[in-house]
Amino acid sequence: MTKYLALLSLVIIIALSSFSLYHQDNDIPVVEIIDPSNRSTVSYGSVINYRVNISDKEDGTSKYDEIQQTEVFLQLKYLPSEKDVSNYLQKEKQSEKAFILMKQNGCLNCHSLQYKLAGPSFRDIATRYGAATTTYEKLSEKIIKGSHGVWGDSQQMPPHPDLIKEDAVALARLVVQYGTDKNIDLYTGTEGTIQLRKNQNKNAAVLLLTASYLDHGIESANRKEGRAVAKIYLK
Amino acid sequence: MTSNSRRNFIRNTAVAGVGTSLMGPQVFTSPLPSSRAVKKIIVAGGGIAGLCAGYELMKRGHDVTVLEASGRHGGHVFTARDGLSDGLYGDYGAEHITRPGYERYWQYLNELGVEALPYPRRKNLLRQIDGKFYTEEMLSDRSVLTKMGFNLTEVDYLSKHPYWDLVSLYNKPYLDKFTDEYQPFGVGYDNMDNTPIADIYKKGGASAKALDLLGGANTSALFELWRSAILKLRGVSQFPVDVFRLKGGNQSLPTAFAKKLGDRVQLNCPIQSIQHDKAGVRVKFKWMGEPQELSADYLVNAIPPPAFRKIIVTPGFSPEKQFVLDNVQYDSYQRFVFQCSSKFWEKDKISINIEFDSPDLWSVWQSADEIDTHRVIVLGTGAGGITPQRAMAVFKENYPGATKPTVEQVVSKDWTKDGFAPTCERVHFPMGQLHKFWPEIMKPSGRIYFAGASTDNLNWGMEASTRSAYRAADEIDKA
Ligand SMILES: Cc1cc2nc3c(=O)[nH]c(=O)nc-3n(C[C@H](O)[C@H](O)[C@H](O)COP(=O)(O)OP(=O)(O)OC[C@H]3O[C@@H](n4cnc5c(N)ncnc54)[C@H](O)[C@@H]3O)c2cc1C
Ligand code: HEC
Repeated sequence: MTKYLALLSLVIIIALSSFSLYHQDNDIPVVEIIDPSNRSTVSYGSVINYRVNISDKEDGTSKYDEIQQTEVFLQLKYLPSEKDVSNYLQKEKQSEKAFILMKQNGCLNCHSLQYKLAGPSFRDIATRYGAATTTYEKLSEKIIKGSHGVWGDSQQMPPHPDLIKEDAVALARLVVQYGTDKNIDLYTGTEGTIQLRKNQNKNAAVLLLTASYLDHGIESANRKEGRAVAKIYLK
Repeated sequence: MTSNSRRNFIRNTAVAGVGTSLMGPQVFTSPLPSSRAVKKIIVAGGGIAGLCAGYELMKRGHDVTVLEASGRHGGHVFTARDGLSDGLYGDYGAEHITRPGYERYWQYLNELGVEALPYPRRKNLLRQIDGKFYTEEMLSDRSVLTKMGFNLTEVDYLSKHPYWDLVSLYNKPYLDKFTDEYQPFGVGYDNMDNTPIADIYKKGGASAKALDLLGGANTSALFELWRSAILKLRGVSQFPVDVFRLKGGNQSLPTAFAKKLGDRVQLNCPIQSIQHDKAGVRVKFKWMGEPQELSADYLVNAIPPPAFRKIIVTPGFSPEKQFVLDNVQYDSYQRFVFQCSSKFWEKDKISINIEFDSPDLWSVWQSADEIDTHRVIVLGTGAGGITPQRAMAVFKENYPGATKPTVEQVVSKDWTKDGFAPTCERVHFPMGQLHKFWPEIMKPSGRIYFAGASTDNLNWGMEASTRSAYRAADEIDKA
């Protein structure tokens, strides 16, 4: 009997592995914003909880803690009005690839938009260098080769030797773009608490939330990103 | 809140300031259980600081609950055993202590019966400089030093003092003025917070080689002189060589605190928001995914600022406190644990205490040598984002001996990727801003008190944690 079971499980293993051999396609992760609900209205200055669900055929689901918290991002973008939304989403497509590169390379483990982590904030980097092609060129070098001694004496940025120049330039551009945009913020994790802006800036009537997750592909190749968007009205 | 503690609060409406004399030598004794009213306290964060604060408060008869987000306590003091053979272990986080220098920490070791072992990880260091390896002997050889580019004074000094002590050649004349390790101001250097410490070295006649080695172009002279003076006042050298670690791994101390605290420590309880007013605090958190609420008279925050920022606190802090919480800076990196099948370096008659000049793997040394096996643990420190495989390749490539390192497996903890604690150690305060951080970083805000590695004078994490935890517990006890 046990012999038979062992044989059976062997057959199953063979069946499974041959199945994955013929099924190399990596599925796109499913990302859902559970809270706050799409098209809800909240007041300026209030505190809201957010919750995102991720489920990916290969990586697993956030419900069972199979998704690494630091790999789930929620982007907040304040927009003046409803009619700016589609425009913004269109424009944002241009930086989608660079944002994926940023995730692939773990840049956001050491950098955040507004705070210093191990590395300087994107805001501080943008303030220091400004937006210019020469800046992107210069910073792309740093990103590839690593950096030490510019922002402090005790931290260093490791090199990213596998990045090609073009991608490093795109990354530098995104760093400065994020650092310059006062209406954007980025959170990590499947849940958290957001302190909404006060209505000092009458130009922010809509808050666009974009949750995203870049999966691990099949053995790290062919990684795919899933996204979900929710629109919140501020009053 | 009990009516007793409310009365207590009214009696002390002016929140106790942080006295600079608080840390005199007399504080290294243990307090008696206080005769004051029992207070209810929530400790946020179950790292070594939170556990120590909880233990101190419990000892003084108060009602404490420690809320820890993750499924283990200890935070950055983290001894890993998983997957390692022969009962071996490796410290993923904090790895050494000094004596003197860690007075509060040693006091707890004695009190709780935790054993420390000598840790020769800094003896006979082999340093890779510009690709070439140097022994300590070589680095005290006049001709080697001259060839490296040091000037005559430096060569003289380094031929008689250890290589790491070069900094003393330039900062020693300044240190005597500091007399209280908690007071950087008013000793005559207040105007040097905008001066890079590198300028002090230059003024002292440092060569280009020395300036390159010492760095400091971005470090405040006031801050750096104060830091060096703290070491001097504690009776430790600029780079203590005789260091120690705990038998069985450094987690033994947090574990000993937690054991005393028992079910007062609650795991898997990420805090989401804190409300506070004159009467007390109310904390919202999750327990096993379910929303919970807890009220208390006081809260000790023992979560490092980068993680604490994610918690919404209402009402918000004063602009001064918020500035500190937003701007205190940390470094973050990775710990590698190489399990090897032999002491391969002994064949080569070289030291395994090696500093590489690779950006991926910075240093290696042996640990866990009290475990009775021929296998050995070699720990390493390196950059975040580097795979263990790459670190192993760098180790094998750069190792200077003829024998191949007998690495059987490598595991690692990349702190840059940690969900709750992505930081390692607090670094220096930015130039020209010491007065904004100090002593604000230690001060309570209403009923919220601050403990943790960032909230003491020196960034030697485990001692800063125990000192600050003791301070916060003492402040609350006396409030
Ligand atoms: C690689 C490395 C090497 C080091 N080497 C040394 C050394 O040799 N000597 C030395 O003295 N120090 C060293 N340190 C520093 C030392 O480990 C730390 O300074 C110290 O452990 C910090 O303790 P802490 O209690 O202040 O914070 P932490 O250990 O960070 O504890 C904070 C706790 O809060 C929890 N938390 C976070 N968010 C929440 C939330 N929302 N709700 C509830 N809980 C939350 C975290 O999970 C964590 O357990 C090293 C650190 C690292 C990483
Ligand atoms: C392990 C932590 C870490 C990671 C990962 C990391 N950085 Fe950095 N980064 C740093 C540190 C530290 C500095 C400051 C270095 C210095 O002072 O010279 C820095 C500096 C920078 C700078 C400014 C350089 C300058 O000369 O002023 C840019 C731009 C940057 N990083 C972008 C990135 C991008 C893009 C990525 C991902 C590809 C990334 N970083 C990944 C730690 C990191």
